[in-house]
Amino acid sequence: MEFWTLIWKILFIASIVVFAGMAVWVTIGGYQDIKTLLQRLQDQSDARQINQKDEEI
Amino acid sequence: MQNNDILIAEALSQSRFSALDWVIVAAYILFSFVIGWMMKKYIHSMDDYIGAGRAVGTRLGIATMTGTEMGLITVMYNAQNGYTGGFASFHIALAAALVTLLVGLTGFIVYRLREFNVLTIPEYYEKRFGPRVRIIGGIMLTLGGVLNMGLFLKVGSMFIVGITGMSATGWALPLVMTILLALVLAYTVMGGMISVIITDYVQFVVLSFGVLVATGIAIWSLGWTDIFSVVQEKMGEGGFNPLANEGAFGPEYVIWTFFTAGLVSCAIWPTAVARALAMESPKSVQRQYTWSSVSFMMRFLIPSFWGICAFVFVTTQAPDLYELLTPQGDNPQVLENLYAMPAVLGRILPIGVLGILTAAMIAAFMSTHDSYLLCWSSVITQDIIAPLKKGKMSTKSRIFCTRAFIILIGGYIWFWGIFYKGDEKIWDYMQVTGAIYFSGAFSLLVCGLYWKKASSTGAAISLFCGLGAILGLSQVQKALGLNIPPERVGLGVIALTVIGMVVGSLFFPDKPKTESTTTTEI
Repeated sequence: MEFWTLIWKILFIASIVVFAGMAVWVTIGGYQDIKTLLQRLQDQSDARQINQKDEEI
Repeated sequence: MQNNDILIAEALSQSRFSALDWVIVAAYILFSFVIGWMMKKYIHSMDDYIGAGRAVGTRLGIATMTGTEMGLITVMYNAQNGYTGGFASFHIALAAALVTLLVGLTGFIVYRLREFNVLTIPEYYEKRFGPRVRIIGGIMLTLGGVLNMGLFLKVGSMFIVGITGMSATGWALPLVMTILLALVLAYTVMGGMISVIITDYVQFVVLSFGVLVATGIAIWSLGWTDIFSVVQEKMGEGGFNPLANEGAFGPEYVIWTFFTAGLVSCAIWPTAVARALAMESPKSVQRQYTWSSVSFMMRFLIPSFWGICAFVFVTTQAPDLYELLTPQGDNPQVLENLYAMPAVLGRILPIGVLGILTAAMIAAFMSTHDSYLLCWSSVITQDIIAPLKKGKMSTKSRIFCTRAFIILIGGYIWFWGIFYKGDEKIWDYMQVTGAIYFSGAFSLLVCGLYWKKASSTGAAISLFCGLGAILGLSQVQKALGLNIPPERVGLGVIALTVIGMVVGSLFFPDKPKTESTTTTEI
């Protein structure tokens, strides 16, 4: 039983530490990714509109 | 009976949930709707609606995968596992982390699947096995998936009832179910995948920090050493060793868990795979999985720990809850043990933190529901209806059809939550219902991606074999007079699907292709 107690203690503490670090990294990086995503979708939308106009002409 | 109702109402009403907490929850929901509304302008095609234009970066991918997979249902069933199984339930978290990490490092299934350049798993079925398998696969996926989410609404609502201190026996539960369903339907129909991804990100931020703070407070109020010693005293070896037969699990269960919580939940379950398919490249899929292994572990670990804390609190500091949650002699327990964790959090967390955590959990509820509703309804539209309609279906009618099915499935989960009365733990229910889909899908993905001889007949046989998983449901076993552990049914059905695939492929191989297969238009 002591073996399992030690395993679960190490697993719990290690994962809390790693998760806290990852939460900070994803919070900052994810915000930048959102800006890139919306910009790309906007560009795709603009490109579609230009193509439609070209086809009409 | 009436006396029990009064005791339950009194026990749950001891929550510290206050008016300030309600304000925090309302503000968060409003904020989510504003985002959903703002994202509408970015939807121009079905690709945008269900795949966010395939333009999601790694960090946002991790946030959204965590947001989807760490739903309120996940929190509740893991807390139930922690409450009944102690620290031994941590093996589920370990299985999830190890297998997701392996999938991330090796790219097993997900890399090749992303290379197929498809949006859904049935679409892969068609590219690999032909249109007939796509339709059969879509039906199995919908059947397993919709049954699987049948209890999400009820269990999520039980958390809200428990933590806010409403009565668990009267009108409160159906009312909360109705309000939550209305919120999530309105939100999903409005925005599609882009708003789902943005709110998943916001949820990730709130949930991550809320979860860490709540865990810290739970440890501080119960005592780190005491938590272990109480579990040791009350549960013995079974509270720590998942392989111990006297505990809640055992060797067979652990093997089953490595398959379900490990491989299935990250590489086969369509809502997780949908995230992989929305990534910008196969390489970024691998990065996403490697990092998400931490999130996959946390989604099992933290709620299990909350369940353990609830067990410790109930047995040492809350005799009123202990009496309600523990069977007395031959009489069953009065209050379902799913209420233990939220009721205890309601008693130990301070005002304000309760509001933030509840808002985060409602967000978790919404993000899981919107992703699942979007996933199953788009499968029905894209993989069953569109291929069956020989003529082309316009983008407008596809989006309309998807939205209509979102509302229909929403109605179903309301009724199923009210009327289904199974005896199994929620996690067992979800594994069994999910197995209707994933045991067949496992064979089709692994054999289809890695074995050239896998044929469409083998694939169809394998998918039908997956239906056998329904024998694991407690209500079905009762009706048939069976008593087989669900994990044994699940492992048996997986073996059957693989055998079906291999035998079917060897006896009925596909004819050599004379021209390249085309996929039904998305």
